[in-house]
Amino acid sequence: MRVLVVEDEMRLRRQIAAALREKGFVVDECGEGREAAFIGEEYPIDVAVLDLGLPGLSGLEVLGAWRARGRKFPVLILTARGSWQEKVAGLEAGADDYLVKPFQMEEVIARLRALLRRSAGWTQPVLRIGEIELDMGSQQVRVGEDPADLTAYEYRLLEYLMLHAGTVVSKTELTEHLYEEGDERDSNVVEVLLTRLRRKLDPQRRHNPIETLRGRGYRLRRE
Amino acid sequence: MALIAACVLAAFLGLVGSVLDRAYRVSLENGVREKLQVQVYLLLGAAELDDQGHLVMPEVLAEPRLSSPASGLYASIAAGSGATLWQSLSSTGHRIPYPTTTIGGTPTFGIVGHGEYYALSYPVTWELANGEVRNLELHVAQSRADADVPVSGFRHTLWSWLAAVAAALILAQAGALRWGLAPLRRLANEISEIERGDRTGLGEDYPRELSTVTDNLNALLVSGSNRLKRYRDALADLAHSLKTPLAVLRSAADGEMPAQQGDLIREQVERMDQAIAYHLQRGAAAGRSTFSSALDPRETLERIGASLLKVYADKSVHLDLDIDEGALFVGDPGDFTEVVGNLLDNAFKWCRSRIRVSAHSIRDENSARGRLLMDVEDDGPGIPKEHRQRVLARGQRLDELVPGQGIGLTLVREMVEKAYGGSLTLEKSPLGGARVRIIV
Repeated sequence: MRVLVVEDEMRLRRQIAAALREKGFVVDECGEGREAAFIGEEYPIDVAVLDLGLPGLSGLEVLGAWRARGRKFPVLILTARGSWQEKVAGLEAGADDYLVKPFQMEEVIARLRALLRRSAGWTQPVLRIGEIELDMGSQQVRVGEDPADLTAYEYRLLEYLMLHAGTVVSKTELTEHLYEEGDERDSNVVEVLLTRLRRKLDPQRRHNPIETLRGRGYRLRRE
Repeated sequence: MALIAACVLAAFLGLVGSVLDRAYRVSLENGVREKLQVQVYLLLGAAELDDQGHLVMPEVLAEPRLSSPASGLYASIAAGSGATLWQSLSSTGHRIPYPTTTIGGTPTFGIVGHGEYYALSYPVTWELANGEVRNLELHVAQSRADADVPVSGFRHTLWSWLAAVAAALILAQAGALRWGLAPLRRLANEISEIERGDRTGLGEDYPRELSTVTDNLNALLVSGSNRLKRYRDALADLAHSLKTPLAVLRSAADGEMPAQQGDLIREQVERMDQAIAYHLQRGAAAGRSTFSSALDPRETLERIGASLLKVYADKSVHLDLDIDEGALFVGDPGDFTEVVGNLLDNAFKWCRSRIRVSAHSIRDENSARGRLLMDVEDDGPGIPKEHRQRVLARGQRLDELVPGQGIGLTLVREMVEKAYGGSLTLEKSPLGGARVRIIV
């Protein structure tokens, strides 16, 4: 999952980014309004953390610019003042949730996961498709009764596919959303990862939950 | 004011009328008396006493009215003893109780016969040729019905003119008052528009006499709202410059520090955060004043409700708004947003699936504009009686696990009580959870 962190206070931004990377997010960082507006419009962002008090363009203006360009990814706003006028203004401008500074880092992560899940249409924190059960809170995966032992990258791949279940996801899209910019990556890496994931999810090769559509990408069957 | 002026005017004109009426009567009576006096002289000229002292009157008198019956003019002559010696032909059938005089006294004029006649009695002492003296009394009377004919005409003219003048004056006065007071009426209208929130200041182009007042009022209004805005901006800047470093500290405590130090930092950051939130909200509260505008609570409730439905989308909350037509909050819109935000956020946090907000205006003996009573209820676990006091006490937390619960209600109570002189009470709701009732 690719998250944009917009916060002008460098230390806080780095702390948030570090905590998110540790939890397996791909993070873009930015500390200025105009740049934030540009990144949100041009990059394949899944979710954003947006401070309202920014130099350049205010957080509300950045949000307005994203929404005006039809960018629909969920946005968590950070407010220092914490007044309801500010929160309501943010939510009405298109934000999906808010946090008042200072906040707990776990709270940021939990809210972002909930936003990702909700924007994919899931109302429960545990995603279930067929025999596969993915708990976004504890990051545990079960297949039927048995826990599946996934690596961090395998988990991220499955999470992304489940949140986009039923739609075709290209290999480029997967690399963009699962790997940091500049990471050394071979186009085979995704294929290798996917092969391992398929084996763990469907050892007997009975269901084949993840289809390959030649030349187009992959699709996790909705049922 | 116009009524008082009209009454004074009417009383004055009434007084003028009756004085004129009276003066006219007096002059009329004097005129009648003089005429009667003339008749007395004519009678004296006509009367003769023979040598024996008997009264001799001519057959025909110079005044024809005395000779025709019921002509309205009457005369008689009596001896000093009172016995009637002669009476005019016109007096036949009329018994006129002439006023009495004394021998050698002054003539007496009066209204006699139950107001029917003006009468003059004139005593004379007549010396005969032989030197004897005879006392006679000459009486002349005129019917009032004849004499007073001009009075009713005069009265009619007098009072109709006075009434016309009164009407004209009252109209003119009402017009002048209306014209003169129009700017004050406009001022009152504009002030009530400010109170309703339909305008932010008084208009220009008042008359010079009033413009100093209106200009000062405008300056006061502007400086009041500017000062509030400056306070709020300064507080918001302060919050921003304090809270971002706190957030840095807080997340450093979460990740970069040994556990013991981390706990200490977390605890202290939490305390600072609550202190800032508490004083910030208290300092920014505008409160209620004479020029506070009144707003329909519905819009604020709907906006915040819609925002929170988005935030708590996972809960699929059913939010009922039961707002009375005509329910009004009198005070600062920003304050109301804070109050509603905190109360609704609590309700969303604690409810299972239902929230009900009801609001209506109630009378207030201290304020002509009334107060708003608002209930926020949920179907959550509610607040046990023994905890209610604690929840409202400053900085206390009932449940550390729900962030933000700590001072929301405390802040609302502070604002409602201190800035609005209102109240906040906690009860059990029929929905099963808490019912927070505020009166602001």
